[in-house]
Amino acid sequence: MVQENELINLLMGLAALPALLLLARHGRTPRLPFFYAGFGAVLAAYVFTIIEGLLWFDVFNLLEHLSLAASGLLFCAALSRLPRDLDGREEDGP
Amino acid sequence: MNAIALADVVSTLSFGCALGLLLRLPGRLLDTPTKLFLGAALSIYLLVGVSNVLEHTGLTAALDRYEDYIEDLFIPFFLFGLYSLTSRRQLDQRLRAEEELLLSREQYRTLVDNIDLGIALVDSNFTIVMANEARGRLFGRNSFSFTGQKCFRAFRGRDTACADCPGRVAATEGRAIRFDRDATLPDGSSRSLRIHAFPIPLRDGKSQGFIEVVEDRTERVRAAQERHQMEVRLAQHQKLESLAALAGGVAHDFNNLLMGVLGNAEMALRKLPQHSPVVPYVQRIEAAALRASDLTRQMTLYSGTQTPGAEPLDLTELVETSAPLVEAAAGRSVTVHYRLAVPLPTVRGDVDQLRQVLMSLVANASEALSTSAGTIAVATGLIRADQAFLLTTAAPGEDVPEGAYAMLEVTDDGPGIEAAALPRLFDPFYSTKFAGRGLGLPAALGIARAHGGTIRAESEPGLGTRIQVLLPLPEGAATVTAEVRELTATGRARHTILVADDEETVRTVTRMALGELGFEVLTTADGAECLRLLAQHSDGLAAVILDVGVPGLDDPGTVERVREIYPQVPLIFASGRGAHEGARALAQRCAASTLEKPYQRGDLVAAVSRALSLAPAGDRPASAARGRSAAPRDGAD
Repeated sequence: MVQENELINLLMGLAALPALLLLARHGRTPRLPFFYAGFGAVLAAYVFTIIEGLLWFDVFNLLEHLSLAASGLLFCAALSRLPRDLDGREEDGP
Repeated sequence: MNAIALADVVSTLSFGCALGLLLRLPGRLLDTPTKLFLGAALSIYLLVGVSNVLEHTGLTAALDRYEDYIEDLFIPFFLFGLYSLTSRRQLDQRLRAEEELLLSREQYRTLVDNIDLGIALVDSNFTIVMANEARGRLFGRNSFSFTGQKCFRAFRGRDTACADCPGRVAATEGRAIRFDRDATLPDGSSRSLRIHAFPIPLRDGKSQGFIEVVEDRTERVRAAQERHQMEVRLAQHQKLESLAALAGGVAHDFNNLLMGVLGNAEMALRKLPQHSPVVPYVQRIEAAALRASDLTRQMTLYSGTQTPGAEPLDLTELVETSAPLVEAAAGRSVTVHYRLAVPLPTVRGDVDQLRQVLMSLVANASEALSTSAGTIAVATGLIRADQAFLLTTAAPGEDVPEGAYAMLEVTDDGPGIEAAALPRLFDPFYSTKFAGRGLGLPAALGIARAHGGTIRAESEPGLGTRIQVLLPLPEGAATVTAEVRELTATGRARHTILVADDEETVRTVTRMALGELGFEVLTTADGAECLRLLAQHSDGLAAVILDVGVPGLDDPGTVERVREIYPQVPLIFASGRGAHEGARALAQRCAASTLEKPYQRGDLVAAVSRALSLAPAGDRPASAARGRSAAPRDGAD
């Protein structure tokens, strides 16, 4: 069964995603690929959360948790690289 | 533990780790709001992970019910965090870019304004975009005042673009242009400029203007010219030294040889019978040797090795006593103007040598005026010579100290000397005249050098030539003259001297000596021929040197009749030792001068000078229209 807040989360995430991609493509946001990948993994978890309510609960529940674990790892990687990414952005210039 | 529990543990640990990393990041990378939003976002899934782990371990499931609420906040917090990060970064970057731009602009102005080259950036419409401080200094303006002006107006005061604009050529042809130009700047100074123009190309290959770089090379050009002049002077000095050494050496050795020739010729003449047919040949040998001896004498004088006499003498007095000679040597159509300083401090020197210098200079000036009437100015005075002045003398680099000098100056208003010929004026055997031997001026230079002085010549084609002889003053001599005495001799000078002597050697030597003084000399060995020449040239004769024993005129009565017929002609009676008393008595009766044989060159010159001075007033060469005026003169020239 699909919960209301899960659907809202997914919609907010999906709404933010193209905007983030667009801004990143035009260089308006810092180039932080692991950061966006982490965010994508969270969105994937939202998708799996909704799907698990419709079919193959065990599989998609597992995928949801794995996605969250992956997003945590990606955020770790993103933040450990953050000084280098931001300094690299300074060197590249606007 | 199942896979989900394991994933939750990993998730919990990784989000916790990420949160720790976030909080450890320095403030210069992430500001507090960004950290708060991103930290809140990461904390949400840290809490979710902890809740799941607690649930899996069976400790509690109480937190599970809050997961849904806090999960809703992840995306807003994450987006706010990202937004905060982005905006902060952009602001930082903008500020940094502005700082860098400011720094870059300062560095650019520092660079451009501290280069000692006048730089201007000009667009394709000849409008100045910028100019640096050196360019402003060059034109005596603030560099910013050029901006917006047309370059041709600002830099050259023109209303239209310059025809020879290097910038236009550079912009049109797309290549750097360089050329040199002498320019007069607004302050009136003349500068030697080197202008470089560089095109400013656009990406499409067209030019959008040019950069003009002006290099002020005035000092460099001046230094190069001075260096060149110094090298020329040094070379001239070295040439003078080597030529003088050569001339002195040759003259010394050659003189020794001539002594042998003359001695043997004299011995041969004594031994030979008076009417031997060989006598004329030996006399010619003797005459030729005497001419060669005179040449060596001149060369010796040029070498400056002959120690001159050191009696005190006054240059003004020297000129005054030599005036008749000067006027006679100057020529008929020449006006001699004197400008003599009185009193002039005495110098130490050889009066005969210095009179020769004076006469050489006058003869040289007279020859310069040979084709036209003109004026020769003879002046004496004091001159203060500094190092720059001494470097322009004929012997630059000579050890002649700065200070006051007594000066003897001869100026003519003849055709002048070409600039290329001027440095060679004092070279021995250099002469622009067809018949000149080219030893008069070199000998004058040698005499001046031997006196511790020097000679300076300046000439302007078409305007004349001025030669100054500088002689050192004794220590403590006054360096001020009270007045200048001006005299002008506008009479027609006679410059022909008749020499009547039966000895060919005497005639030859006398002709040479008088010829050097600028006189034309007629010679004869016969009394009848002498009377014929006297009748023919009596109006133009400056003097007659008559050997009282010359055949046909050896009778005192005849000589006295000659004096009666030609009272205006100065007479000089030359006689040998035995007959000198008789000649002196005759001279008194005939108002004539005497000259004892054998005479030296100086004796001859003095006798001629005396005879010309004694010539009857009105008939004395060139003295009839002499006038006097005095003008005050303050200090050295």
